[in-house]
Amino acid sequence: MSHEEKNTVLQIIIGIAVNIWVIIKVRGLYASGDMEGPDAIQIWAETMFWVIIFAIVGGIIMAIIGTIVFAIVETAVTGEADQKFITDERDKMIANSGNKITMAFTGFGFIALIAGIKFGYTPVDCLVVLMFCFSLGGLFGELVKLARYRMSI
Amino acid sequence: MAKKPKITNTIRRLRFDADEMTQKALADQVGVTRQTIVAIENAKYYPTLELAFLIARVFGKEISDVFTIEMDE
Repeated sequence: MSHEEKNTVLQIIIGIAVNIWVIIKVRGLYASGDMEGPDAIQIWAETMFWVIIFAIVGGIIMAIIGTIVFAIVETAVTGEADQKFITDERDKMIANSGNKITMAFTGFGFIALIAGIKFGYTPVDCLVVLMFCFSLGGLFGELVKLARYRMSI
Repeated sequence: MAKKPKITNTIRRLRFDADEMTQKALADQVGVTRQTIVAIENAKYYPTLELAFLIARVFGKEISDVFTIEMDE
């Protein structure tokens, strides 16, 4: 497994964790009635702000831990760890295909937001959909990358 | 609709002829990962022109000696 492929696996694990966390947080906001009050957008935005901050910091920490774990496992299996963090032209091509999926989800979320507001849904509900499209798009983009890595060897 | 042409290569044989050069050694010389060399050898990934020239140069060959295009009729 190349460095970028390992990174993709880590990003999938992080993506799943973030998506689950977003679902739990949003469900909590709806259950507490915070999404129906006049301050719904501010409360949602504050919650999502911290979700994003923790996701970024958690992602960096997970990436560091994951790299160490991969190195230990690789050393145990093959006798030596790949210490070169090369990103080559094939990695960039595969990253582009993943980015296209992420962009497609993001675009769909934006259109859904506009359509939702047009058809009378509350702005905060539409923002929730947009946020899910962002986080799901990131996850599916990484899954497509992993599939392309596996299929092209 | 015309079929996509297939690009084949002789990298595996050239590595064998070059004192059984490993995929990793070739990858290091051209600045890519070993997995990319594996993908190129198996015709699962077509390299850029730049990488194709670099690979040919490692073996002291012309690019056409390493890569061949096959047109399906």
